[in-house]
Amino acid sequence: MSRAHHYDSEVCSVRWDASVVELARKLEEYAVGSVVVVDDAGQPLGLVTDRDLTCRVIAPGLPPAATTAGEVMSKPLITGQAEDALERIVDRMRVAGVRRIPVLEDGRLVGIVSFDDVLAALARELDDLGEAARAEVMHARRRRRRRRQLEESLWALRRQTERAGGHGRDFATRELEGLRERLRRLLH
Amino acid sequence: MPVGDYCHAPVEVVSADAPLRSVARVMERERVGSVVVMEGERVRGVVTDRDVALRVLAHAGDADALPVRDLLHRRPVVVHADSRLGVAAGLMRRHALRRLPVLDRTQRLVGIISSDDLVGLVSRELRGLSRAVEGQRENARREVEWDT
Repeated sequence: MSRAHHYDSEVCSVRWDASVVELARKLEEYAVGSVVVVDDAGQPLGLVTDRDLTCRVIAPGLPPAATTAGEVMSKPLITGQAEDALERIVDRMRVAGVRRIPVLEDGRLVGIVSFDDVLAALARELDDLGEAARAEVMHARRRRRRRRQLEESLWALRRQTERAGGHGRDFATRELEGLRERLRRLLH
Repeated sequence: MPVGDYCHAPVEVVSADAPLRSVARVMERERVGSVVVMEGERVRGVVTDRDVALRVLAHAGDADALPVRDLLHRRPVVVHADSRLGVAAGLMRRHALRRLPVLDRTQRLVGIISSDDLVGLVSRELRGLSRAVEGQRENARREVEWDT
């Protein structure tokens, strides 16, 4: 089973007293959708997404330079552990209605699992499965073709054997046995 | 499967002249992550909550003065209601977009389709497929029981 730490990506954080302007610049610079807010000791406190900035700062008209990350963050922070099974993390996303879960290890922030990361990984796995199914079909078709060719040569040989006499028949019988053996190996 | 059968309607729309503050308020009030920007009856593009947040906060835009038109910088990427879902997925991938306005043959806005909608559809298909596999397995088991 997959663990959370196989899916997390680098996490971006700001101190609780950073302004939302600094936070927005981080969102853009690191091309991420959320930033984890940490206390003075680096312990995670909450999360701010790009949407939070629009709904909690711009819509109500708060002054950007004087508004801190700590004032607009969502808390309590819903987190996962690095060793959590992926299913557990996804379940937590579903229950809490969030798309990102910061991952902790020994209380320390080590990454973040986003719904998009999980989806992309699943899509890759599905694609591999599809590829495997296609390969299996191709393989089966090739086997069928080879079997048909072998069967045809068997029949040709049998007809020749019936027509030939003496040494010819012995030779052909040996050949026939060889072919039968190949066919047997091919089918098992 | 045509896009028109799966898109969402009605769509939250704003006028191209609307200041970013009022767009942010629409997004908050209507609980949507994006709005379609219109100029009269014409679709001009899609603006997301992220576009608004970055323009106003990271780039010091005046939310009361800047019109949402300012965030549109190219021809809108749209999809037609009778296109197949695969066409919508291809457009999203090519243009790195998560939402597309859906237009009818007269270029009128009829809905919006998001990558989440497509993921939901695919997952329903997969669930159906996995049920079929389970059913097949169950039948095979019954046959074995019957034989023994």
